[in-house]
Amino acid sequence: MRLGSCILFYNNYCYLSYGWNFQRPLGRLHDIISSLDEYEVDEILIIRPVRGTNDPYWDKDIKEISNLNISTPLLFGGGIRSKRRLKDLHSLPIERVLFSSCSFGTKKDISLIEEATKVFGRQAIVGCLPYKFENDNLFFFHSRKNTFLTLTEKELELFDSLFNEVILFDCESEGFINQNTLKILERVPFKQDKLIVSGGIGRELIKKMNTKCSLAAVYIENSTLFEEQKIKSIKRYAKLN
Amino acid sequence: MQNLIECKKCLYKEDHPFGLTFKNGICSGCITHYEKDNLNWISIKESLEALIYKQRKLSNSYYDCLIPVKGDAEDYFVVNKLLEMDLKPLLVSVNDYFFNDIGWHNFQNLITHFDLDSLIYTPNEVIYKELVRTSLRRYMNIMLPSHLLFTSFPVHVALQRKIPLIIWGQLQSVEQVGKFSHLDQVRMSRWNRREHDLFGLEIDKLIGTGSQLNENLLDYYKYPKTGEIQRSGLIGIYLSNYLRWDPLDQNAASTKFGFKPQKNNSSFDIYERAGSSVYYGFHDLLKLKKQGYRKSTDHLVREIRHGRIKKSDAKKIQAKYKNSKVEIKDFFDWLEVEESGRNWFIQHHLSDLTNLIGINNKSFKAVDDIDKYLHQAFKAKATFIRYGKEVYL
Repeated sequence: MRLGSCILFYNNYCYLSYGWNFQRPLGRLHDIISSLDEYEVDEILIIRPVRGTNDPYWDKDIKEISNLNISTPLLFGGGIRSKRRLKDLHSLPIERVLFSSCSFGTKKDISLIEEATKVFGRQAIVGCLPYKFENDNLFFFHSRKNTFLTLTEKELELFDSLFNEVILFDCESEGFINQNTLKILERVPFKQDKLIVSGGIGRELIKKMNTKCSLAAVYIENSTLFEEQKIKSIKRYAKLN
Repeated sequence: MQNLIECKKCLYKEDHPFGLTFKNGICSGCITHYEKDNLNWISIKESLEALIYKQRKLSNSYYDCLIPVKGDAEDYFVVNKLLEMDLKPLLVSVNDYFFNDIGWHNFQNLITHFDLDSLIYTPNEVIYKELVRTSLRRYMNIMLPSHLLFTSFPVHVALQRKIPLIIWGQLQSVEQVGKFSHLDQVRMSRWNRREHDLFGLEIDKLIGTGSQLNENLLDYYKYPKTGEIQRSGLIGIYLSNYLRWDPLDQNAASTKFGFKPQKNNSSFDIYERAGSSVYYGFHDLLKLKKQGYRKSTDHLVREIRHGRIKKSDAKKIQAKYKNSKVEIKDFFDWLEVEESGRNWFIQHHLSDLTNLIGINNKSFKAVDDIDKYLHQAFKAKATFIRYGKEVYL
């Protein structure tokens, strides 16, 4: 199981996010990414939290990401909603591309993902399903509509067919250590070895996932930078690698 | 000037150099401050004790922990608290050449009053001045060399002496802008240092073009390698994550240990960085130039959050301090810059602030709820003292 880190990046600045409803300032992208590289995290997700249709900072953010120079594999997503934007990704030092709300339905959305698959290869296409539970009912976040909604089994199957790996992101546990219950794993029809779990992650949970599940990866959402030895100590504790 | 969002509760605006976010018009700094009222500080302190116990078991040293100090009022509070917890600390400091007579008194008194072992590193003065010169020229910052040393030398000492725990006082990024929750218990790290203490600038930004320094002479300005820290098991923590932090109250109490507050004309706070020849002088002017506000704003925000002053009163005091003058000649004399050089600098970099340069003896009353914490303060008799113990050189 790989150990990754999620970084929220928007308007040339990085943020911490708590419970999907409160953000704190974090810092400059370049310094954060180079520190994560040094801390030997297995991969880094840079995600732009674009909610709704307004996204004025795309060009500015793409320019900043294009200046990164690191050895850790980068996964990027957030705001990729047109073929023009897909073209912009060519200049980025990224290995994989992430889609979220684009995959929820229209023919245009699916065609965009198919185009990305042609350009980057299927192994590089990752889907993201931010979710929350309400009275045991499961809801997924639709970024463009900026709301949570339900998905049918058929829609989830389509999602499964489009992506090489899928991130299941627990919105309500975000930023709170070890709060993710992993209940989601029983509620989605995906094979575990293509799943990445994030949101509410802590070292105990990582150890549990490494022994009881067969996940592709787990991403720590906020706390990777909170201490110098975090990644190494988690890898030791959870017996990763 | 664009219209910047200002917090509904305090005086900070969205362009704060540490970064600031808002929820319902209230800034992350205020939200994090009010979090203090709902935390179980007893159990948080117990987690500190457990952490100290764990690190103590790793120790191969006579010392349980290392405390980086400058002789600040905050250092008195930290040292006293840790002695109450029965720890054996080594105090480590750096001579940044900016101490005045009050600064040296406070530093020496800290060691002698608590009767503790200490180490102070005095860097090569020629190199240090060259770094200050370069830092001023490139970044309008005279404190960067001091921050570089103060945030790395204690880490080198801890590694060399196999001390597994460094205990710092306040984590400014939490207290000022609420970058993290107290519950995140953020620790010392290379990233934290670079982001918050150095604003992204490491020592390599002070060498090269225009600077005549050899990198080999600057080891203590560089943070040790991450791998070395990881292998040693050394961690650094911030006491403000584990105790309900109230600087004015804590600092006022340090006078009972012999700490001397210093009068200054740039803020009502006579405790924070008392003993510095530049903090409320040239450094404060550069802060205004670069960030658009002065140190007194940070102090007023802190006191609004602690409920000792209303925002409307704080705004009035902020406006008064914004126009207080500072003396900068002493700094340029120390830097061995002649009058013509000083005038050139003013003309090219501070032309919009010339009305704030000069001697000023005005000080302003805060409000009664703050004034009751302000004890007798002293005026510095001598500035930029190279080294002070009993005899000032």
